[in-house]
Amino acid sequence: MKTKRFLITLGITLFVLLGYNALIARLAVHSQRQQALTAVSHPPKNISVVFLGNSLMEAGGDPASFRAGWPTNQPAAPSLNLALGATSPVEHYLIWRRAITHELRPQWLVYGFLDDQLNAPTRGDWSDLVGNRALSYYDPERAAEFYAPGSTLKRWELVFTQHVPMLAERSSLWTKVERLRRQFSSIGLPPEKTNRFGRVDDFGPPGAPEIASFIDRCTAITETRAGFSAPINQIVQLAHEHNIRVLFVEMPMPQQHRAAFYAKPIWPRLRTHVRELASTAGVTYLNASDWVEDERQFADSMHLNPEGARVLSTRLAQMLAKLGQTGESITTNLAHNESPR
Amino acid sequence: MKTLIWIKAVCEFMQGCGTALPVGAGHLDRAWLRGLWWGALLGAVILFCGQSSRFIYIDF
Repeated sequence: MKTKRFLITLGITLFVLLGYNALIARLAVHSQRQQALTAVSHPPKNISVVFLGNSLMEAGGDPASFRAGWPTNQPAAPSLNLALGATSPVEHYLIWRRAITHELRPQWLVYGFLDDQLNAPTRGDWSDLVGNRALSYYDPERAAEFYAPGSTLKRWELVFTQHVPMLAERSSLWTKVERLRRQFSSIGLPPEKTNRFGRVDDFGPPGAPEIASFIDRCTAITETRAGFSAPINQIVQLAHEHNIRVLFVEMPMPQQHRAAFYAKPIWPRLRTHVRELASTAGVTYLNASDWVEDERQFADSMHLNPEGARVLSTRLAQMLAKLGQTGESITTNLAHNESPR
Repeated sequence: MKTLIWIKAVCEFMQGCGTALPVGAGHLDRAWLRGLWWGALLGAVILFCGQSSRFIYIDF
């Protein structure tokens, strides 16, 4: 009798859990990551330039401004922005790979990055893979190889999680709760400044711990002569296998960020090292970190606003048009000059 | 006050730390109801466990 009661209780609990899974799977359909994958799976025809990266490129790559900046005496070069906020190079590789699988064949891949992102080790712990980083669960075997090369346990963890929406898409529900929590916590207070990436204050100016960590990371990379991280290498390799040229763009940052990070003596050393790596890998390196000098063209202390995106995308178009005309000689120049204005 | 104590006694029984239901709650001693109870508890855990993550911008 007790066993029967227990089994009924267990059955009903599992049924409720199934309901949660169905609900969360439904909520996740409208998530940014699923929308991005849908867009990648049906790419427009004749795309010449693809923007890839995290929220910096998502905010900064503006196909309309890119089109406007492209010289009228050259064949049009339609662009597509596949960048996605709150993602790492692993997710960028997975998006890029899916784009290639769906026959997207641009002439250029423009990859935006900041700080030591190209060399930073990839982390994919349970607490890391939330939000758009849940993309790693969409291609778990490849993602696991980046996070723990050769680990069967990691592969199983990601593969299992992939099949349980309550785990893989857990942040879809958290988002709703967090929004509600913020609504309640703001009752009676002046409204917080927000933009498309959330609260502006979440991207506040860097503090002393962030700067110290940045210096430590850069020092470790330059001292060990570390190469690009595995997903970055794979992004480049995949592009080159399909005769697609790659441009690494050091994304525009506000003066405060440049003063806090890029004015440190370690940064020019890291930049030189990264440029050498890029040159060896056949990638063009572009320092656009100071391309947007007007602080009003930033939405917060990291991201460009639409006006800043217009400035960046227009100049990128002009730059790529020149590269397309004159070929490798300018590529080499770019790789060695401080700022190709 | 009596109602609160009664609800507390029902909850304690449902979660296993009470040995008997309070008077007037005998009809709640159903296996299927206990399943719903644990399902609801798990749902609450799932809803609020995201608070421990560093929450900046997830799909906003």
